[in-house]
Amino acid sequence: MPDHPRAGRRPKGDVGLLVVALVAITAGALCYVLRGPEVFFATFGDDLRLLLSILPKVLAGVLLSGLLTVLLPQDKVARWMGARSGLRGLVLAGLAGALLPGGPMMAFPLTVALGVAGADIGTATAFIAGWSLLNLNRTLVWEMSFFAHDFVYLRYGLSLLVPVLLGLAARLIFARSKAKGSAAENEARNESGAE
Amino acid sequence: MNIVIASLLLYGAVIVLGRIAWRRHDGSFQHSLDLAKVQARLVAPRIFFAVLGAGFIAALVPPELVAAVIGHDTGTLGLVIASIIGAITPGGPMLAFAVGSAALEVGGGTPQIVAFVTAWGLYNVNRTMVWEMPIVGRRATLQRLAVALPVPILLGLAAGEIARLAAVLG
Repeated sequence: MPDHPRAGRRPKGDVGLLVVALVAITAGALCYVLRGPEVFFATFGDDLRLLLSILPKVLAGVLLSGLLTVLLPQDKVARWMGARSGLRGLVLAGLAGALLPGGPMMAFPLTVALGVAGADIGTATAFIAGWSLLNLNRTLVWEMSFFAHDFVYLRYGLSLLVPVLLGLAARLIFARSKAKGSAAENEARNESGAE
Repeated sequence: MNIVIASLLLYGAVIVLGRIAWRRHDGSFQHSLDLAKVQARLVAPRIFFAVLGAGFIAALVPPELVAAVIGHDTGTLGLVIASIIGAITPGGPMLAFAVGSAALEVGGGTPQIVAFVTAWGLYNVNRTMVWEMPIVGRRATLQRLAVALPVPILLGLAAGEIARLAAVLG
């Protein structure tokens, strides 16, 4: 697999769906047999109600992610962010991770593009942490649909600084990438000097 | 009330961005609609099965068991277990959040579920193996994982402290 990284843009694709479907069907069947039809149908009804309440948000979520994908082209974001470094670079990377919509097929190729554009391991780490902990699309559409809002505020609030802190930690610990980081800093300086 | 605010925010953003895309008159609007359609087709069946599956699992698993393993009183060990479960939970956010909220309902502790969601986000094994390693590369992935390792536990501990403080004050 690592030999041809781009082979198959959706390696798991429908296998993932198959797994989720199999788990659901198995759990449903077990529920019917072990807990009886009454519990089965009560649970089924609750689930359908939850699905209905989620529906409008999912619709907004896919619209939003389509719009953001078109309005914020990844290559531009990568070029713009890759050249920034220092603390500001980490904050921007975390912010980009929080704002850009999309799943792993968006986030990881963009991380590579960031690296190509000059970002160091700290920026990459902050971006991935921002994407995995603070992604707004995911939180607004999915997390708030399933969890009580108090819980979401607590988790999100606690995670706010994590991308920057992890980016700093990665930068401090993995010295090799420090050299790369200062290269990006020089680039950024040249850029601002040219302005 | 809260659910209305979240929806308003979402649809407000959709309207604002939609207007920007529309005003470009270069097919941006149509393109984003097409992307949304593709995503909806991809996501819809997953949500359906994820919600059903999590509901049935919650009905199957005895609450005492959940409480004993990842309940409020399980402390740091519970946080570690919840983090491991988060790391090995496969699939997208709908499944992870469905499982997490079902666990909360049947006796899971808030700090433990914070750790679960955080671990699922930061080092989900399935996603790391299938996407991150092949695309980003082994070395960068391992470096990122190394610094991320303690975070779910730390956030879980912080969530526990906040809950305790709220209990004292409230």
